[in-house]
Amino acid sequence: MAPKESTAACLSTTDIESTLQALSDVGWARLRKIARSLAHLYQIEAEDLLHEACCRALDGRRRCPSNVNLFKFLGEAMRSIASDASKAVKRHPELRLVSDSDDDENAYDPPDEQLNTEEKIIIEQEVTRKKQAILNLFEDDPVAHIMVDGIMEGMEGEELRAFTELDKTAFASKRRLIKRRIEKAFPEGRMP
Amino acid sequence: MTRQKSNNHLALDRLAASIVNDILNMTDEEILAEIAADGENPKQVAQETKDIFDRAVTACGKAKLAAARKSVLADRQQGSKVLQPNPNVARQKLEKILKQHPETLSKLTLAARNGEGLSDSDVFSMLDDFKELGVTPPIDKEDDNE
Repeated sequence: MAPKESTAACLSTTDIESTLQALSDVGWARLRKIARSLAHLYQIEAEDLLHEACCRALDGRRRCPSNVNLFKFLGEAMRSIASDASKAVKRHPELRLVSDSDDDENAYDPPDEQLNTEEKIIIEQEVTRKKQAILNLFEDDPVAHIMVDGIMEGMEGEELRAFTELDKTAFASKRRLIKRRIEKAFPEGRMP
Repeated sequence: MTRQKSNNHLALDRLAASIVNDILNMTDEEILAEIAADGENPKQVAQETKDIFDRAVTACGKAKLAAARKSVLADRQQGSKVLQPNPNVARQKLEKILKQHPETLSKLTLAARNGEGLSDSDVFSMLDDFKELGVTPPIDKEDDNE
């Protein structure tokens, strides 16, 4: 479905390309960091994730509102792609040779991409396992555990800070600890 | 394709969004410090990431070229249909015009009047001439089926 915002309110694909071409080293490093963190969480390849997000931005499938930071835009694109990919049980759909003839007998009948009940259960079990594996990382740190739990329940900002009963400095520090521990626990996008 | 998300899936998505947000809020110095702490070279990390972007640029460029080529081929095929109408239909049209305008028929050579010796291009050319003069064949069911 085409985005509803007008073209004038979005960066052109040329703008996106030229802005990224001019990115500093630390800018690239930031993008790679986002890609890796998401890869850790969703069990996919960071390189594939960044490549796909760039492609969608460059060919206009994803449009960046002109008032949105490009890093935020690409970060959200990667998060969305990773989330969708983790839901797809058929990551490697069956490939078949297809005749280009109009003959009905040779017409291509695409495989059913709908998930059956068993596949849905497998995916749900996998997601549950991932969630638990992440929570298990913080068994030794009850505050971090509570914070991760709160984030997963949709808390953020001041509500989350109040939930953890931390002051602002300790809260920021705990957030960094959570991020780093997840990054280090699941390197290269591989879950235990 | 969008599928309904489970609560566990939403939980992972929220954590992911939170981590992305944290990285976006990091200063440049903090980013560089973490890369160094991981034992990596920021220059190399940047170059490797830019290489991924460059590959995406190349892939998109190729895809755009392929789409443009497909579009040109489609236009060409459509154009060739206009330039190469069915000669049998053209002869029928010419015959109808000549029947409708007998004064024109009398000005043609005997052979042309009988429809003999006219090549397909002669027929097309005559139809073009008639069209320029504003003479068109009467519309009937056959024409509707073209």
